[in-house]
Amino acid sequence: MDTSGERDLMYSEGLNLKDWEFLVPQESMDIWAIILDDPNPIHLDANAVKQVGLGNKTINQGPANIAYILNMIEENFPNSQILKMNNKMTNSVLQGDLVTVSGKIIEIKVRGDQFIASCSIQLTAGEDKIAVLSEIDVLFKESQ
Amino acid sequence: MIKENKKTWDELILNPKGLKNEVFSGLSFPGGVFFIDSDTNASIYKSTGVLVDNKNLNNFIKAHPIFLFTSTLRGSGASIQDIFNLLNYDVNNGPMLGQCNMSFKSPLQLEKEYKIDGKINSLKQKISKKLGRIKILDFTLSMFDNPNSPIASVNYIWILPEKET
Repeated sequence: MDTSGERDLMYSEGLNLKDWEFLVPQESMDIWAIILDDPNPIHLDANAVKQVGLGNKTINQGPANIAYILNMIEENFPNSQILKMNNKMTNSVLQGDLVTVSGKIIEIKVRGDQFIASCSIQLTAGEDKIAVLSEIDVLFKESQ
Repeated sequence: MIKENKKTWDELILNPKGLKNEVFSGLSFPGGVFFIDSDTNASIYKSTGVLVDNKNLNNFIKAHPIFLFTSTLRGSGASIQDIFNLLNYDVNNGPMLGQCNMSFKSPLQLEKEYKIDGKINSLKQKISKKLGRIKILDFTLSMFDNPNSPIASVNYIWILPEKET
């Protein structure tokens, strides 16, 4: 189904959502270490990453990657509410990576005067490294 | 056969070395509270590339949903480091978040305190093709604004690589 009618905004099953991009700086990881009270050195020190054999760049915190996906959802569904979000981390996002969050609407259901969109989303780091796969249910109201 | 009483988090942390994985199944977190403040909310938006200014007023009044993570991890009564200490796990081995599954009954609010509670579901040993010997830590944390039912919950699956000895 879709949400068209006499409104300009239309969501439909199969619709590709607008991409969201962000270039990950070390400063963001430093802030997230404080926000999460997480001293894990792989987020802060490239030498620590080398020592555990995970490469030579610091690794972005998982919650930050999920926050990017949430930002993409908010941009595509303004003033919406997340009902459910299942995330699978499949790869690391590194300092300096350009992340792209993309996805589409799989299903739309009606709930009263609102809609629930079930979306399949992926976060890609660089050209083709999929770092997070998400299945999200979003509650939204069509804007007038 | 007499069943040994399960120990609490506070009891186990006194001597975390040599604990069997099964000891952690069903272990309740100490619990605590977390206050969602506007300054941290702004930091989250800014550090994830979202403008926080007069043109984006929603970012001032809405709590970012990622607070479900930060609130539960910070307000459970045990930080990430505390969890690793309890498991006698060396953070220098590079623990990784594998999965996290979130659910919300209502949006989170700014300038509000929430009660946090949860439990470890399991700690299991496995062999990974990529990482070798690992442990899988599974725990669930919830946020409450009243004692009766949680308004949001998150299930975490952490991958804990172990150094070969």
